Amino acid sequence: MWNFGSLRRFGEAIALVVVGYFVLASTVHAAAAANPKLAAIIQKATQEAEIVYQGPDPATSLPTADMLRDMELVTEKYFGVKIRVKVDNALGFPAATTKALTEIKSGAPPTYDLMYQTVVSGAPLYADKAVEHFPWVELFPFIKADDLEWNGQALINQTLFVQPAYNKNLIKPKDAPKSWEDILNSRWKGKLGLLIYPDPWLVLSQPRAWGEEKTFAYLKKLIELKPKLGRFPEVHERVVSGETPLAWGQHRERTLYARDQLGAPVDNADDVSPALLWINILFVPKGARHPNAAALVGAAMLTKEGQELQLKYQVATSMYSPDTPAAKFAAKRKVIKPDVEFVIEKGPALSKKISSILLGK
Amino acid sequence: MVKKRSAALFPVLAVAVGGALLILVPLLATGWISFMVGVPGYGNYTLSNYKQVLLDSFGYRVLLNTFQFALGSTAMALVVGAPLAWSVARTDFPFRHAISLLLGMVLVIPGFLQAMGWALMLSPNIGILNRLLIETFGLEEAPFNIYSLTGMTFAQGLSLVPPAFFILLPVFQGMDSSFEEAAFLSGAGKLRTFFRVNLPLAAPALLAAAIYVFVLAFALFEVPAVLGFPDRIFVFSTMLYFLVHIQQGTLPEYGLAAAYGSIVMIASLVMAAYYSGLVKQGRKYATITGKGRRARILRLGKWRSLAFSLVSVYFLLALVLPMLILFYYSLLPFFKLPSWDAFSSFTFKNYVNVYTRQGLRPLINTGILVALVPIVVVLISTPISWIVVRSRLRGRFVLDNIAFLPLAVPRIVLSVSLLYLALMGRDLIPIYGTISLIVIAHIIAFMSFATRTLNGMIMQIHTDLEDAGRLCGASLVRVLRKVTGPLLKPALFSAWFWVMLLSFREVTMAVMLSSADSMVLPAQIWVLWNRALPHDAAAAAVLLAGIALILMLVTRRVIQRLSTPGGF
Repeated sequence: MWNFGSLRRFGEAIALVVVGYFVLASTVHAAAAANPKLAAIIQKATQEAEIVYQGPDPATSLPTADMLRDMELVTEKYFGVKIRVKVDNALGFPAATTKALTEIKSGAPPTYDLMYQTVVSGAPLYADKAVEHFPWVELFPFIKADDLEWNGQALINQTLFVQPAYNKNLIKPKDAPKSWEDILNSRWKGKLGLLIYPDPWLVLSQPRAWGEEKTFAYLKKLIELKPKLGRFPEVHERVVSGETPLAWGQHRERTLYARDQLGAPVDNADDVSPALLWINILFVPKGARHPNAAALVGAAMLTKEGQELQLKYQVATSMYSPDTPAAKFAAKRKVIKPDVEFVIEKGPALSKKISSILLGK
Repeated sequence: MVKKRSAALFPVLAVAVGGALLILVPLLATGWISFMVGVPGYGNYTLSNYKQVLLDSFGYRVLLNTFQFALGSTAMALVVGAPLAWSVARTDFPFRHAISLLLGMVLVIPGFLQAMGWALMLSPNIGILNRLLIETFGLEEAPFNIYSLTGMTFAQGLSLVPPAFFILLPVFQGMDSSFEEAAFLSGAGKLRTFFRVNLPLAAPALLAAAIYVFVLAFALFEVPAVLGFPDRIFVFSTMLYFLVHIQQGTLPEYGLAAAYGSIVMIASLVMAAYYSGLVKQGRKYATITGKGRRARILRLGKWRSLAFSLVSVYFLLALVLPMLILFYYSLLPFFKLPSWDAFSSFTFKNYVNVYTRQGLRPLINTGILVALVPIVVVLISTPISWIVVRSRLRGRFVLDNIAFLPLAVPRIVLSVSLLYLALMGRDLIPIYGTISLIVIAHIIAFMSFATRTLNGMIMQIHTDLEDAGRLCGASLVRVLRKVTGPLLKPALFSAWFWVMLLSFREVTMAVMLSSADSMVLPAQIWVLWNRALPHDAAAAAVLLAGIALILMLVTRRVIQRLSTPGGF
């Protein structure tokens, strides 16, 4: 039974939301009015009205349709324009990059208007100058230089941390590794899961991290422990099932989700430092059919609500957005970020070398 | 006379050549891409891909692994599949009507989930069976290790029985029982008759099945990925996956993958040439003549119980256990070994998620695929097989080899070629990004199966029957429609049924070619798996299997006739 007090509180809440909406809307409209370039983009986006988003389904069990609806709502809330977001997520990241690049080279508009890639997997598009330029910082007051990658062409919407993960039923927290070197202990022989991706090793190979020599020496020792190789889903499942009680690296956020939301007996070895950064970005490929609408949707993902949406559906946020879980974790840790120029210059050769060791060539 | 004959052949030849061209164009594109590095179609021309293929010692090691894996799983598929097909086609084997249906179910369970199921059973660390044996017999270490070449071969061999079965079934059914009766009259037993009469008569079909399954095993990815990757046992497909999916900072090495594919294509051509030699001697294998044919059921007698037990063991391993594990997996929020705690955490949420994620679109698209692909494949494959086996046209075996080749090309490479061609021709034929492109890809890829099935059966039909029709004044098309077609019914249905299932569960091409509007159910399962949502993926796979079961139940009368000697 509702009493007067609860009705009043409900009324107050509604009023607050309405006032908040109008304040925000007026701020955005004021910003748009004050920024003719933004106003022009909004006007064009209104005509474009939809985008094809190359991005993943939710990492949680929430419906894809809800995620797309919320992306539309956040965009509408900030820019006053209704844009329909269609998702196209069947391909893996490298294949989507090739598809877009092939289309662009053939003179066709790319299938995707807004692309979601890792800073490394999409690098061929950046290297081939196949990314639309938007003066993001100039256009959107909430975007800072730190939020950008690829020389200011891509928006960082998520930063994930690669950390060891372990099965709590089989490894006590006090026995979990405290450093990357701890994992080389022979006690983990045959009990270790290892990712097949070269990414973490490319990050560690950077001169500002371990450098190539130390990285390769470490990797060779690690391989002697006969780790079970796999992609993220297989390595994660093996830790959950206890088949390999320790994973050399997993996305910290996914482990937390499995622990907190599903109740799985897994945890991160958070003492291990430095944490390796895995950066997910949003960008508009060159010649996209709906570039302005895509830019608005992409920018909206860096707002406070956009980041809440990322957390809700992708269990990840950007450490460059204030007060996000990623920012709070990064504030207390040493993290190593991938340097895209290094990846473009040295990535192909290093990847082959890393693959040789991983594959046992 | 020659002119008249060519004119009569024209309609059949036109369809066959059209089908061959449909296959040939993307294959040529594959060859083209193999000479490139960089963006497919826009990179630099080079021989470096072939140089790497031929000089890389790792490649040879992988090839040796692949050879052992493919040979072992093919042997297993034939050892189980051939007697099973014979039992269903020729004997009073109990519940034989259900065998085709059950084998169809084996086929639709996604390979990576089957492999995960085997890992849960036979992993040295957590395998349920290993743990049971260790505890029961006080062993020091696990007796089985599924993460080995033998383990992979075993798991893959079980799932390759259906293709061998579906290729051989119509052939055994087409055999005239008078051959067997003659053997019995000469004092041969049932086993001796099977080995000395049935098997030799089915030799071309056996060889076709062996080549088909062998080449198929060469390209299969899911089982080696789950069971081979962990201990770095690489086969051809997992190496290609590495080249195409795991390169960092550069584009995937499609050129190198295409070069590997081209080498396998050449190897397949050698095998296909040997097969063509057998087809040339086709008359030797003709068992369906104009003299009338009796389809008699052989009584297995004392062998019946043994045969039933062996088949039950197969289905227990290939279907019941994987399905149970799949179902169990689909009900869990996260993985737990079977226990009361695990049972109490069962939830149907994963099933709800499957629907709410994508709605009905993947289901509708999958429906379009299974409605169109098998019919078109059968319509194109029949003229190709007829020309290859029946006509005396020069170069007819080229048609057969072309139809066979797509099997040898890694599907990921075939998809890239098609993607590129569709992109180039998008103004002329606007199929890029639509379900039509996936339909075409499936038609190309699955023609090899249909032609293998139909070749074997056409060889069994004696030319006298068609000659009689022609002498009565019927056109070639009419003879095909009124004489050959009805006699081919079991093979036509077998090809249709099998292609439908293949199309229903195909993942690789669907993943590469689908877009927002053309997502299909198997691609959705793959996406879920990749998003580290294996329980949602398992739920989608159970639904996929459920839909397959409904499809098969709807067509059960035809399946029953398929399993009945003389049923068609």
